[in-house]
Amino acid sequence: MSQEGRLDLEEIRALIRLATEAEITELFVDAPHVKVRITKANSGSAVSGVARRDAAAPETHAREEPAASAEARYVPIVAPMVGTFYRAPKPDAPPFVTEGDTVQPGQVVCILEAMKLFNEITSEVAGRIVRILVENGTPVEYGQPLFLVDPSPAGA
Amino acid sequence: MTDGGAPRPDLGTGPIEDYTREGIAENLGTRIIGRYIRWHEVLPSTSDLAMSLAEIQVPEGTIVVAEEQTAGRGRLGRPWASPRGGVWLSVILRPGLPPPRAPLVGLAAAVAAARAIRTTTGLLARVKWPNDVLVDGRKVVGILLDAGPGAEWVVVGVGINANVPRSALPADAQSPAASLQDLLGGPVDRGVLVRALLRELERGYEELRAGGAASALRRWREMADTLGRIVRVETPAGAIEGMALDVDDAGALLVRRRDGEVHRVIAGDVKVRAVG
Repeated sequence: MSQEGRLDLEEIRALIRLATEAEITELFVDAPHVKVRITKANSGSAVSGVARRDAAAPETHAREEPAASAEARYVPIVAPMVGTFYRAPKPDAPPFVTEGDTVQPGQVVCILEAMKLFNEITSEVAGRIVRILVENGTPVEYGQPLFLVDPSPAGA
Repeated sequence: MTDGGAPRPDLGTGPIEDYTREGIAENLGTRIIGRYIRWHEVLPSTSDLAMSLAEIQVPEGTIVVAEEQTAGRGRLGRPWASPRGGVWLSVILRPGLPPPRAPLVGLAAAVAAARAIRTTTGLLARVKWPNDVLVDGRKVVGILLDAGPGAEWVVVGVGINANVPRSALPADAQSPAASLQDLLGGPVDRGVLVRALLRELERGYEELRAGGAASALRRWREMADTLGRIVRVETPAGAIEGMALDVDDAGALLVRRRDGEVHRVIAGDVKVRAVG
């Protein structure tokens, strides 16, 4: 740190890099002369993100419950990158999938946008979409579950 | 100003442009980008066709060009005016980057477009985060990327308002557009421009793929219009206003708000504030 106890741009950059590489959403440094809070723009881990959305959107029931035996076999489709979640290729187009649809391996289920790159996300398993965990147009974190798929033959 | 290492000036073919498939291919001199060129009079969208081609494994570097697009698209399904006179093309790439790093291809493409405009027209083109190109604060190039599963393929869609008449440009006071013809007071040779673009893109792409994310980002910063300015970013999670500090290793924009919080922006529309 610089002499007056203030952070210079390089030090802030280094802290941001640290926060970016770590799987955290916020970094708060409270030293004697320095206070820095770094918050990722798309903050919210999988769990807290889901829980927040629960409050706003009562139709989703993704809050962590003791996993019922039926749910234990559900396979999540997770975000391979940070981005904005879109359920349809264009705003006026029908969604790629809705709850209850069957999917095949390699089938596109949503798009994630980062830096004007629109990345198609596919299911890795065959099965039935039992739950969509994220609202259209909202930011998601790396590794965040987006869908739950029931891979059992009965589910498909 | 162009930085060092600029190729010898390509002065073109005189007042009559040679904007044809053969004209672009001749003496292009690239190894990957533009080695196959599909040329169309009219297409709905060059990127839509390129995405279909990417899925059936056409070779990397194939480009799709249309003289006119009838359904050109921008971010969030916004229409992108693509009349005759512009440059509308899409490039199929297989960068082998993990999905979180794939957007760097778009930043490299914006740098390539800005450099191509500088070398062929002398206009001081700059890059607005993440990958628009501006001249005098007006948008002359839009770039949009589509990626397949696992970012196995990436289609880079580039739209340049080259010789587009002013009346055909979108009238949006929020994000004003301009054409090169408009700015120069005369038409630009699109054949020369596109060859420069493809060469610059190949250079930036090869550098990025060789593991040079840091140097790709350095080149982006050299051309950046956004950094060090007060910006307002409309993100899916709300608006963020503050100083655009830098881009991070993934190309995300770091914005420091007045309260000192630094936000990492990965999607959104950036407006540079008039003041500051």
